[in-house]
Amino acid sequence: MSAGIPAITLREWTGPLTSELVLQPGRFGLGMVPGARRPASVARAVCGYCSTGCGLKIHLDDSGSAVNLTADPSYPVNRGMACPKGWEALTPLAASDRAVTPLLDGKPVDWDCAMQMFCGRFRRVIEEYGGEAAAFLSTGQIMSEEMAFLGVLAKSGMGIVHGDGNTRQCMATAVAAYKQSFGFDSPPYTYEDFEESDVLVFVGSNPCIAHPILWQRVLNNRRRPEIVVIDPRLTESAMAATLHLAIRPKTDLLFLYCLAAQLIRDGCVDRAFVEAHTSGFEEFATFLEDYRPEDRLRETGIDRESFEALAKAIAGGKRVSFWWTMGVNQGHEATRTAQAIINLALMTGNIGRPGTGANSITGQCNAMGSRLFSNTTNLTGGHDFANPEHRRKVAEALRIPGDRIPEVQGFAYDRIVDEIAEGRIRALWMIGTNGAHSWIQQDRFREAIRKLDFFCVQDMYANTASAQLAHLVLPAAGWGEKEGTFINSERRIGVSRKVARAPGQALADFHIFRLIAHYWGCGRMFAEWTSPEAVFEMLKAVTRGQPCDIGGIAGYDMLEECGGVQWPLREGDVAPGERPATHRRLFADGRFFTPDGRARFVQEAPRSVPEPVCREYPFVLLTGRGTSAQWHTQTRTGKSAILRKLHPASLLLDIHPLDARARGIAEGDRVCVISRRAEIEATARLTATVQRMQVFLPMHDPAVNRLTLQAVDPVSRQPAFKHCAVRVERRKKLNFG
Amino acid sequence: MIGTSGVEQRTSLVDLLLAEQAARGTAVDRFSEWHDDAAHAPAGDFYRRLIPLTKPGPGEQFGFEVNLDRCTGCKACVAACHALNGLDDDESWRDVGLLTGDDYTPWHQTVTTACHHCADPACAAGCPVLAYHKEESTGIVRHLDDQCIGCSYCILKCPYDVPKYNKKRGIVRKCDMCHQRLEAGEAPACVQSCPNEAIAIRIVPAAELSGPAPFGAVRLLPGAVDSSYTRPSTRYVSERAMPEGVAPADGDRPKPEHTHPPLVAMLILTQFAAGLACFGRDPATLWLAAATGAAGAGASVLHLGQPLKAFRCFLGWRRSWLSREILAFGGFVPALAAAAAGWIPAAAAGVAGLVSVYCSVMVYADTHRPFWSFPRVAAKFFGTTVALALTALACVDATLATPAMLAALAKLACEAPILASQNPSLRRSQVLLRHPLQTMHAARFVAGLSGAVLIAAAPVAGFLLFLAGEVMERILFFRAAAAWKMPGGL
Repeated sequence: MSAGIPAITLREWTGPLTSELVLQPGRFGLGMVPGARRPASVARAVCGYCSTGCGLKIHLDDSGSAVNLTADPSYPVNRGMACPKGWEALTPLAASDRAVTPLLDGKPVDWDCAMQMFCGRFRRVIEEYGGEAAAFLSTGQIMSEEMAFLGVLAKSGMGIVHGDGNTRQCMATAVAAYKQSFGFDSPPYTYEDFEESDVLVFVGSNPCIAHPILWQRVLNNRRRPEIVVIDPRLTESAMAATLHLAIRPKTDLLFLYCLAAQLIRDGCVDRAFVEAHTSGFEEFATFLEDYRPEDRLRETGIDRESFEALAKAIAGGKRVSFWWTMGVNQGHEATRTAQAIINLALMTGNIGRPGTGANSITGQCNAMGSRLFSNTTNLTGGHDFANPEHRRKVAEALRIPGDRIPEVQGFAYDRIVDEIAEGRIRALWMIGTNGAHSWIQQDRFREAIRKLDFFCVQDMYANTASAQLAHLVLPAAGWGEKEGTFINSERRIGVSRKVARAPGQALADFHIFRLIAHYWGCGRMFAEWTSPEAVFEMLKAVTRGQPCDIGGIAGYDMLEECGGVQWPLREGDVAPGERPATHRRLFADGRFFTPDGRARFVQEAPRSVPEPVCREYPFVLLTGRGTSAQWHTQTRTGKSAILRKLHPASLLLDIHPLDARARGIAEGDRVCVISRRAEIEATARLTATVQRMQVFLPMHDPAVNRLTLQAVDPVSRQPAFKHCAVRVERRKKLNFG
Repeated sequence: MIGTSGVEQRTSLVDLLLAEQAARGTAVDRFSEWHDDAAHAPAGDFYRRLIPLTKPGPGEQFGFEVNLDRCTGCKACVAACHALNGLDDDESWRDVGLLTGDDYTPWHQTVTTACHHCADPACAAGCPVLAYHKEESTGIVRHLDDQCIGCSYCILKCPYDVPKYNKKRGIVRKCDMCHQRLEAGEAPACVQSCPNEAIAIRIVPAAELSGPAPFGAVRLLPGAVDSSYTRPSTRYVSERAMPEGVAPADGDRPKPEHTHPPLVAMLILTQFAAGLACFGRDPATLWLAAATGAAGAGASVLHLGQPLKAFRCFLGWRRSWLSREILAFGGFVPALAAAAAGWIPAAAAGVAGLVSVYCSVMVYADTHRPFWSFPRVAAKFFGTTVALALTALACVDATLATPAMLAALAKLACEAPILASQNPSLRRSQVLLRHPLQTMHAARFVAGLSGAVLIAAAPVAGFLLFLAGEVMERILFFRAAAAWKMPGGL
């Protein structure tokens, strides 16, 4: 409460309290801004949350520190819009619980001590048990240059054999599907395709909540499009759609095959395209004979009428685009499901033209960077570890000795966890991710982590679920406290600038990698890896001749001036002084990245879910994003008071009202959700937006993955978060907490 | 491996990197020093069609128009309102709520809401110090932050849960439709930040504001208050039909309202004083009444966020029952002292007391909260006036035991049927009394009843028990008074 002698007037129209809300022209094209936070200058940054890759204008004070931000109207991705996370992007940086020094067993130590410990412990494990006993788990949240540094440092510098990223949890399926079908991990679209489509089919995707700024494009579509959402739940996007197909969970592959069969029967195949640009269609058509809608559609829970409406829309649409997200990627046969979507686009010739495509919407801000540069699932730059020619090229581009590049790919995330559980991996380095919250079957994961000889977590916060289990915590600078590039869902490389000072001794991940290289004794190998932009030059070189060639990008300045640049941009693609087109899509010429230039039809018979419901566990548990104000394990979004207001304070279980009543559960009751793995508590929210005998929990609560099942798609090794069996019991009456 | 001379080197690299980290971003120097370019309006011309080109004419005002078909729940408007207005940590003047279908209807709709800049703003009508100003030219309901005394009465008056108390500043703050932006030809924060163009500013004819709302009822949305109360200027539009049985997602889960302890004390003490003035004849009783009344009136000051500014509380007397209540107390307490001193008849102080209690009743009845309907509030306040005074006087005058007991029982009897009421607008209060407030609700009756029964045998114990019951009644009076509001979230 602010006291003060009141003015001797009857009505105080102005005064100190009123002036706190006075706005002033912000200049820099910002419009009116809060007077107290009027910027002295402005910098640009690509948002560090999701893969939409929005441009933000950061308002800086006299000292060059960020005081506020607004969405960038001139950035071609978001056109002046941001979701709540973007608006609040600066808040997590100023959180009072930032990690400010390295912590060894919870006690602050200096960097010298931390580095000696880190190198000493890793070296001991590697010397005693070999490089196979060490692993790192990376992230889609750091910059491409940092990812590249980490991957090469760990594998070529330190000799760690196994490394993977949290992108395994979100994008691995799209990678695997595109690689097999198109010959390279290559999402073909540009965001303009949302605006150019006649029919948009969203499969397992809720962009209204997960990618709100992309929905702007859908609503900006002037072609009066048919918007189809295939999702077990009536999501926000399903509400906004013209047609919602409430599919039975994990019958998507079967459904897509039924749809393909129907399209063939209806004569909707683009024969000319299929013959000129694809291979394997005849086998696919033969395979589909077992998927006649009249025989199989019933299993998907979708009525004939809606099914035919969808088939008709696809048949009638000149430009049909297919979009998928985690509902597809996080399934037990996810790669085939993604490829079933790709097959639909290929057989109807809906690819390479405006408003078409089989399009995976990515998750994290730099999942796409991770896919190209993390040196985990492929050798840096989309190369093959096993190919000596590739190893030689990469070594040359990155200025590292060729014999230091491993010839085999390390284990995927799930295998790394298995190896830890079995005591074969003994040292783990986790960077910018929170596996102790986000990985499936959490109790097993945590139990495994506790067996490690050495566990190091590198993060902005020392209190994440994972950092709390670590022997050593390395304090990292966050987005906004460093610079580098991200690659968004539409392959757009954007640059993010340093606009804030990191607290205490926190260092950019890039700096930490430099430090480790030095302490490990391999500093010389990375002598030229002095700054993110220097590494960006090497990344340009490493992509030369690849589908993702970015040799034509002059540097960060060009990225900033152009509003980001999509890959590929080969050297010579644009004349000096010219800009590349703002929106570019792949495959306009019908040439794919396979050796024969043809896209492949890939198919496989659907399998039953790993854990079907039964009498004891009669509900299907679905998990997913809760609100647009929440990001993954909430280590950052949880720091913003305004974002916390935008999601439920407690964990809510969505359950159908009739199922709830049958179990004596009323709105607001505390319930137990029990799987074969664990039992957790939640508050019941009765809603008919979930189907009968299905329940939904948001993934942001730390308890939810205690329930989920250790099961992965065999091709992509991505966890099947989207289906496990649970039962629900009432715990006690109404909780008004 | 690192050689022996490495220690120095290593340390120096740490220092170097820490210095590099602490340095201002070089990029900032190179790229951020943009020239002062006023030509770039934020978001370009994107929102030009979302704000009117002209000011409202006579009989017109600005109003929000929300296209529900475009509101998909991203909540960017809430975060942008917070950031673009420089508000406190969790402060925003916009909220996003949810409407849902019934058990058999899979349906939901997110709803963005802010101040409705009503044609007949209840906040302004209730403000005792005229801290609200409805701009003539725009119809924007402005809050004068420096005039506000932090009494929170506007929070009770507004049926849309719009004004919010700001503890740090001791005042209320609310949406001003970004009037400074509108003056500069710029769209309000929420309008310019909605990716889906769901929010617009339109010019609306004030005369039509009490007319039918888009979904057939004279309320903005299902679950909202009857629009005839304040005549809100917001319009919710949709091309889609809303199914039967739609209700706010938080409809079944009301949260207990604020207790307002100083007001609990004030109401009980002043009503006790009024009762003593009516039934007490000897100076001692009247002095006790004067002291009690003064204490009650004094307690109310504790309720204010800006007590020094309270001297202006008479300004709103033409419309504000709170202003009138304060004026009535201002007369009542001195009248009690004068009666105790024998300067005026006790009956005159009694009348002043009853007028004050009537004003108190109207303060709450005027909020249109269903739990605070006139008969219910009047029964409670006048009931306390009579029963509390009689039970107290019965401690010294045994002949009053029976009337005291009857008055006490009558009061309890008036309160008892609340849970049995079939009035649907009381449902949220009933949920509160049945669940989170259940224990206190039961205790209130146990204390009241046992107090009433004990009066004849042990009058002092009876009085104290009954008083305890009354205090609980008054706490529940505030906590269970579920406010009208727009659909909320979960």
